[in-house]
Amino acid sequence: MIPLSLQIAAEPATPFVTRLRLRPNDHTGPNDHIGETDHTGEADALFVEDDDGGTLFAGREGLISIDGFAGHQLSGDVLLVDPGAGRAERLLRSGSAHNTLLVTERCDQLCVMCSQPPKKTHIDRFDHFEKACMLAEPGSVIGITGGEPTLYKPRLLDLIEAVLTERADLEFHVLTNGQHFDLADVPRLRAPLYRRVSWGIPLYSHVPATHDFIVGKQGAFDRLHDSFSALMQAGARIELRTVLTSTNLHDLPALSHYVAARLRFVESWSVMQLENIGFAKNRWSDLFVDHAADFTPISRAIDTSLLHGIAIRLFNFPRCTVPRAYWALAPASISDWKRKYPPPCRDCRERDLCSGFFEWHPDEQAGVRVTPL
Amino acid sequence: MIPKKFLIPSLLAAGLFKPSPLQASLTDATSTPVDDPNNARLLQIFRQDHPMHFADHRSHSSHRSHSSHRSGSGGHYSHTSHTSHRSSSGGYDAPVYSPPISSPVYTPPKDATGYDAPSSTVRPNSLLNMPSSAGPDRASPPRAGSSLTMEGRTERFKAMVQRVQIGLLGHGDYRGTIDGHVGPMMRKALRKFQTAHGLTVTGTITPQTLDALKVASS
Repeated sequence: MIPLSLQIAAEPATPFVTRLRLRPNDHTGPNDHIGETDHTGEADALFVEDDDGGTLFAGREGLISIDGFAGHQLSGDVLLVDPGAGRAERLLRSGSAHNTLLVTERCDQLCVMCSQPPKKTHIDRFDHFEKACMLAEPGSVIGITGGEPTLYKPRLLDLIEAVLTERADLEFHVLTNGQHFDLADVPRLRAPLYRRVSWGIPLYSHVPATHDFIVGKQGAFDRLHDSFSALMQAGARIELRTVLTSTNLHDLPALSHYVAARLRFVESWSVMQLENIGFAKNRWSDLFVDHAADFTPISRAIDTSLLHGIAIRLFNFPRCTVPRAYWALAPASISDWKRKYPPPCRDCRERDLCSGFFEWHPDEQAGVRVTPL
Repeated sequence: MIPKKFLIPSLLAAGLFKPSPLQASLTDATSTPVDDPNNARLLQIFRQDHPMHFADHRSHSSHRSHSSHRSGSGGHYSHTSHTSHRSSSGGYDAPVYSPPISSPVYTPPKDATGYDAPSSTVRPNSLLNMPSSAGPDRASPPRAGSSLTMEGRTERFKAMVQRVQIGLLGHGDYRGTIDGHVGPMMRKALRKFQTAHGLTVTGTITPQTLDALKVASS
């Protein structure tokens, strides 16, 4: 597992955002790419030296000592350094396609399988995130998640607009429950820069009561459709997301017809296998459905979707558990920092294209299911 | 006047679709000609059924080769042309259509500031145009990594601060103890040194300061 949090010692200061660089003129800076003057150099901390246990960087906020890494391993990373806590968060890891900013831990839904159960408190770090995004590597797609990011919709849209105006090369992918968009948002969301924003929105069933049950909120289905209406009129890019549980597995074929008939404006539809963490951990035996045992509901939904031109994909489905005809739909979807391959996968030809397993997937289960290809 | 939006509402009236508010607003949005500063981007997101989808589907049997992914792109050019058929139908004059049930009224944005030139290409929506590693999973956010047991960070930090303190002492800017702590006296000494050497004055141990003190060179 790739550590996202670093143990550090730094000069006393309030938390700040900095980018680590090996040399002052590394050609990794965003401004080399977009041809602007390098006014972000101020936010850079430069490599000083390594020793056996770690590395030293120095920047405008002074010296930063980091354990467990050599300088070159962190070069290009954008950190949120908290000297008081002796900790730094790797907000944007260099070279990773899976950088995600957690903007809040509050949420107004309570999904039965939530991987990141919400908290009541909110720590506002939008200003730090905005600075970090300005320092992102050229051409990055930055994920935004929570909690529910649109609980802070005005600030969220401000951040998106500020960053995408300054950085024409960046994109955002926002995970949202779609409970907070309305028609008043349409003019704002029609701005061309929102072409570079996609919204990942869950829909679990075509049956309102089933969807409401899974997300733990009465009326969520109807409210979601109001949001769809607004987003559709704004021409927003929507990635529909459906996590499979025992509750909605058999709705999937009907849901595919519903998507093909009613939600044709979505850009893609991701059908996702469960993640063994958060609420799903304790409810695993109730919720988890072994798609390898009966792939029929899924294959029917895929066939319908493809027939109707809906770009469907399977997330978190190891390839050896999916019929061969559908492999192309099962990409390496699990984020690098929480992905693992059990030992039998070592010699598998499909490994690099395969989702693998979540770091917290029970090993005994993973081992049993794997058949190297 | 020729009704320009008769087709879909007629189908609705014929009961072919069960209308929902979302459906009604979709109908309205897709069939309303808009003086659109966005070059009909809204229309472009509505993909349409056409025979190329069968080709898409069939090519799955041969998805072993990635080149088959490309075969989908042919379909996309025809997508674009379909879209333009659709938008050209907006050229008719027409009476105003009211959807069967109350639906949100679509209004084109009045504010055109901040638009950059929108590209007219449609983002490929077909599965087959996606790289197989497409779409990172962002189902859950980062969590704190396992904490490392080494406490070397403090030692490493202090050792470097001591070297800087000795350097500043040598320049006569620092009179405190060589304790490895960045306190008020150390800050003051740093500012004094930085000012005297024409460096950016921060009161912190910057790369410039390390260079000037010849403690470390980057």
